[in-house]
Amino acid sequence: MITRRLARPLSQSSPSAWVCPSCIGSPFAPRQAAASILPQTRRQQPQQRRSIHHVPPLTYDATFQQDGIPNFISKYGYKIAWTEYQALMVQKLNELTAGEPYEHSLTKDLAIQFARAPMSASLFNHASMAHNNHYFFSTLSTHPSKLDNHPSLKQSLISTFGSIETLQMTMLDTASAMFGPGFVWLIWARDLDIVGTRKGGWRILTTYLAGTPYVEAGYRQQGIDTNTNNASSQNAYRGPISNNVGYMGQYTKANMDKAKLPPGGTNAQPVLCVNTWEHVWLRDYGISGKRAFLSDWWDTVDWGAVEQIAPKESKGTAQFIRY
Amino acid sequence: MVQKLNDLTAGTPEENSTAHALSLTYSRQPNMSSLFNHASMAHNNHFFFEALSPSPPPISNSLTTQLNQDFGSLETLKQTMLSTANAMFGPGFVWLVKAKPSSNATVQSQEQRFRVLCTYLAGSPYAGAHWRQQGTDMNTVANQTAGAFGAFSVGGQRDAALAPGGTGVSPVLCVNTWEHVWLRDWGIFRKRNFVERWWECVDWGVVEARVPKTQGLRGRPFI
Repeated sequence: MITRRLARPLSQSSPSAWVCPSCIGSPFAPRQAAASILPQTRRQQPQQRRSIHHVPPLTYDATFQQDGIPNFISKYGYKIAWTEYQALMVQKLNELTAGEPYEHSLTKDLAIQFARAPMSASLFNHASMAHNNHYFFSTLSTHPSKLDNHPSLKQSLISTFGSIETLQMTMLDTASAMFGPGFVWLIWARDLDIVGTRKGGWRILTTYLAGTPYVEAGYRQQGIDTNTNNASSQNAYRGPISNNVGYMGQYTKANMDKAKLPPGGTNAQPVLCVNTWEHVWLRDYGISGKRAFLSDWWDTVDWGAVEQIAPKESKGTAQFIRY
Repeated sequence: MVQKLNDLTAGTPEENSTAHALSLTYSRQPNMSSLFNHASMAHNNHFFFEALSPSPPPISNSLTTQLNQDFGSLETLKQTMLSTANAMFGPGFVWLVKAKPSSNATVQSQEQRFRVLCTYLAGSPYAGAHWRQQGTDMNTVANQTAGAFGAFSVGGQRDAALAPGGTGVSPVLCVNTWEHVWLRDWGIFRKRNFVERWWECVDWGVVEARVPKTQGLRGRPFI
């Protein structure tokens, strides 16, 4: 088991009454035996720590809290999946970053910074999960705009996928096939080495658990179920190993830091994702309702929000250049 | 799980195999991973629920003695299992198993000992399926060795090449940390409380019945 350096003592978060003898009488001993970890509104931490991170405001949060997301998630499901879960992620983030130089960093930056640090796996997980969850909820709205209202985006997607139905089926089938929880992303990948087309292309990407779609953090993309791959397929997928070793050569820390982007240098801009963690759909759809949840999600996507996030070159018509 | 298993095995020679047997058979076949996942999950889930009781009798002295020998105290065992469960970011199981260490260990430690093991998602603790033990979060540990025993340890990987299924792991207890198990009754913040309460509901009689009778070296004088 990898032991992690914790920013706060373990005793502070444990509800058990047992306290190690050297902690009794110290200022960090738990004040009460059954410490509740329910956060109180914005004040996430007892004692002297400020909370830097907080649950990011969603545009439609007030409506969602009252009425849920129409035709998709009830207000109870919304409470679990956003209000409470995001609060939990933020609370853990605050605990793990308090007093550190990166305590003000954004979740995306934290995810990228700590993607290659196994000893900070917990920090990576919570930062990346907070970021991904926020992404998922920001494409949902009370009056979602249909894709037909955004012809240039729609056309661009059709150029890549052939039809919107194919895009839909691919994303939903992928999400359905994932045994464990994670996300499925639609991303615009820039600067692909494809001769003669636009400066990038649409891709569908999966990330298991709290994996991140950003290529600079590629080592923690978690795009394949590593339980069904072997060392060589995994290596082929991941590229260089994540440790560093030696004083000179390819695997030294200096050289590994240089190789920030995987070879082939793409740059990924995610525009849309679906969160397939059980706590998102379990309440409203039941244990066998994952497929129905995915279907309803597709009908609820606010393509207006997606279009706003999508980079400009992804919405242009295809320019074919012949060499 | 059962429905998916039936769908996946209908009409095949395996349609009457037990979930456990299926998980052992298909642990090495990535293109049958769906079958493995559902079989292993069905088995693990059943294993979890079998050891629960509404009013469990107190743990027997003999089992307490055995566990104390390997963990120091029951409290340590409890904290180990609970901390492991809490530390796992994704869903899975935490197991108490009786296992023989790898074959290059000293004579004295050839006997079976109790260990704590975790398996992510639908990973299987059985030695026969150790290619799918899924005992580490492979996103943070990969192409390395991990642990003192088991499929990812130095000895375990050597054993895997030499003697598949040779390490003889017998699970006796597990806790299921998938969200659907605790979300409804405990809420998203209280996984820790769920695991604590689980400990109090364990039927140690069932656990003791699962412990394999050992013919180990324990009790023999040191040679």
